[in-house]
Amino acid sequence: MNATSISFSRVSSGMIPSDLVRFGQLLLITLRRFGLWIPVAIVAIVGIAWTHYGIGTTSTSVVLWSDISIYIAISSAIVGTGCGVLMSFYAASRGRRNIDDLLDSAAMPGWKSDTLTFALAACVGVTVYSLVAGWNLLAASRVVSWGAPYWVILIAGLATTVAYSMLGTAIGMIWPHRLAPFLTLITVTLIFVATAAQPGWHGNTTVRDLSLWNVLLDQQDVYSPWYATRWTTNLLDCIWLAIAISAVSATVPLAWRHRERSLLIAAGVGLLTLLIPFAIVAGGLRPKTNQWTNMEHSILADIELVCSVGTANVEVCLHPAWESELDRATIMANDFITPVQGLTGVPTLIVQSPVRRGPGSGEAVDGMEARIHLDRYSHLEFAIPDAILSSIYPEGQSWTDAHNFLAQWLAERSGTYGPMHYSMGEVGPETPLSMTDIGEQHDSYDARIQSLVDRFNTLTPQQQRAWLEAHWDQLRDGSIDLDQLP
Amino acid sequence: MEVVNTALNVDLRDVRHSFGRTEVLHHIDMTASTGVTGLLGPNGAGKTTLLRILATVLKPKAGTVSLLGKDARNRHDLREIRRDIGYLPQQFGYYPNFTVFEFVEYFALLKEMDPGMVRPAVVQAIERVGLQSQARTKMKTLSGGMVRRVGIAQAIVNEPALLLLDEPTVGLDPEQRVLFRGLLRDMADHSTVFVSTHLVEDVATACNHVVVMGDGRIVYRGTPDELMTAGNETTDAAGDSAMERGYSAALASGRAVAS
Repeated sequence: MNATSISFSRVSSGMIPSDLVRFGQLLLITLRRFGLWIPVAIVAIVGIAWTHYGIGTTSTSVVLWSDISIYIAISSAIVGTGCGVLMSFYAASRGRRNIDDLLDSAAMPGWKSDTLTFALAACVGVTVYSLVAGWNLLAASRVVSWGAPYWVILIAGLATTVAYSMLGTAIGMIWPHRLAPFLTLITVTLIFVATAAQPGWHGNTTVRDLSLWNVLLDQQDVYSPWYATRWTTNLLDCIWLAIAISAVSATVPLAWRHRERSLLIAAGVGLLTLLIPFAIVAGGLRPKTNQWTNMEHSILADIELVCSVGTANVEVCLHPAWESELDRATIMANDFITPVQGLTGVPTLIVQSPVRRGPGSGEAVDGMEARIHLDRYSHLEFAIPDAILSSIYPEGQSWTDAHNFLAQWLAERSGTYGPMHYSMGEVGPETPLSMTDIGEQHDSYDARIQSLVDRFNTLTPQQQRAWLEAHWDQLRDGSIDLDQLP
Repeated sequence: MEVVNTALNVDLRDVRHSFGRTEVLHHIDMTASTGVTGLLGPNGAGKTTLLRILATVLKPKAGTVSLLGKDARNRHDLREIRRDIGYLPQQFGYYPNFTVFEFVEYFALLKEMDPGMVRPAVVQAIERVGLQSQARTKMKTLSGGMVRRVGIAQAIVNEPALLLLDEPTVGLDPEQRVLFRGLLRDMADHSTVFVSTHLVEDVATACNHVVVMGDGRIVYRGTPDELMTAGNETTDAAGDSAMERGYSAALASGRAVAS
């Protein structure tokens, strides 16, 4: 009778479902009684605030899924660090509870019960990151009109957050001291510093390419609504690094605490997982991908531009992601062009271009079409005049007083920004070099240009038009002496 | 008809242990079947070390440990043994945010009880230590005596065949101590219970056997009545009661043999 009973006990104890149910119940208790949910909520709120601020300050009125996705992912630097510090505090204080004897006498192997702490760390990381991501994605879904979130970028952020959380747990478990959270902070910061510096754009991969911050570098030219590219190998490297950190963080402390052969083997495999590819990357043995190699091959072919025609019969066509700006852009472009409408080189069509160009160097395709490039930093007040003037002025010509005069006069009429806005410091992040290269004597120069504009404004529209028609070619090539102004 | 388990649940042979160069257990031989064994001895006598070995928390440096008919050195047997052990350590740490119920439930699951049996077993264990009205109270709000009773509840939740209690009555008020002795007597019917204590009245009222330890050796083993008789027969040993005098005499003779 006894023998039968023992035999049954052994079989039933080895059943996986029973083990899983038990582990699930333990995890539920652990989650319910974590005790640090308020700090977790604070970390999430800080992450949400930071992400919100990041998106708000770097975008114009157009919000792109790439911006949202990237800023959510990069918030892992904050929320991941927060989770790591919290988890190291938790694991360290748990280690000081004098409860080891009780745990060691239990039938469930000690490494299994320790695994609960790592499962908790993963839950905390996922919860915090999901709050940040959920909040921002929900808010973005109301204003972003085109495309879809960049899921691989978001997953990279999640993996990084969980990795930092696991790392903090490992530190707290190995060193259950009150200073464990500070050690975690230092460790995470070191990882951050080692990988966050700006990497070179060409050549082979380096350790620095393992950082999520590379996504920021890639964002304008790779993660653009014009391209099909959803990720690069740099991003996959980043995810791999995060998974490797998580694996090592979980296995090394368990192997160290419980001295189990299988755990030691697992920890060794985890370390190799981390070290071998790390050596490949650190040794620069793999060519890197970058924005320049990505974009040429991946322009989306099926984008249907949205277009609108204004009062001066100038048509403006934008990528649908910028549709919310179409009306404003059309009004602005038509207002800008009205006084010079029909003159040589004045475009009748303004088309948004996927290619990022040096400001002022855009080419008119057939003399009637201007290209405008807009990205997350672009303001229409800068971009529209730049595109139109690039079309009007012959390509490759350096700017003269005549160019500046015309640009300033058209800008003032249409409420856009002209050369004097730049010289007065009202420059945007993407200040056209051609418009800033106006010498050192800004004040006197500005005064001179302004006096010319004021003088020209005293003429009637008919007189202005007549003078422009008469001197248009000289204005375009910059050869006119402005003292000839009426 | 009640079946009494007379198997040797504890069988220690020539067990020795040391911490560094300090030998804390010398050639311990001990057997026990069902019933309550009181471990008496001064501080540093080796009681806690012995209980930790019995709880499989500590591996002895030498000797063999057979528990519940299985070899504690065997990895598979060890897990089987631990499923049937209840242990209250001397230093009883706890998770402050857990409720009483959750704490006992947590350890029931760690003892690999059948998940379906856990809930009723936890309810019963909490009732047996008289904490049913505090079941939903967080551990951090409990008094020291109540925490100790939670420790006892987690130790008995799996109806262990081997129950090891290291100074379980510390912090308990007199009423609770009486209730605890009743609990020990109940457990004695089907379990092998070891209770380490400094209180001879606990041994006198609740134990079937008594083991006195001194300087890492067993210096006396017998029944409480025999120890009391020995106390009555001696006049020069310290103590207010017969059992205290018997205990003092046992320690003194042990020291004499060791020297």
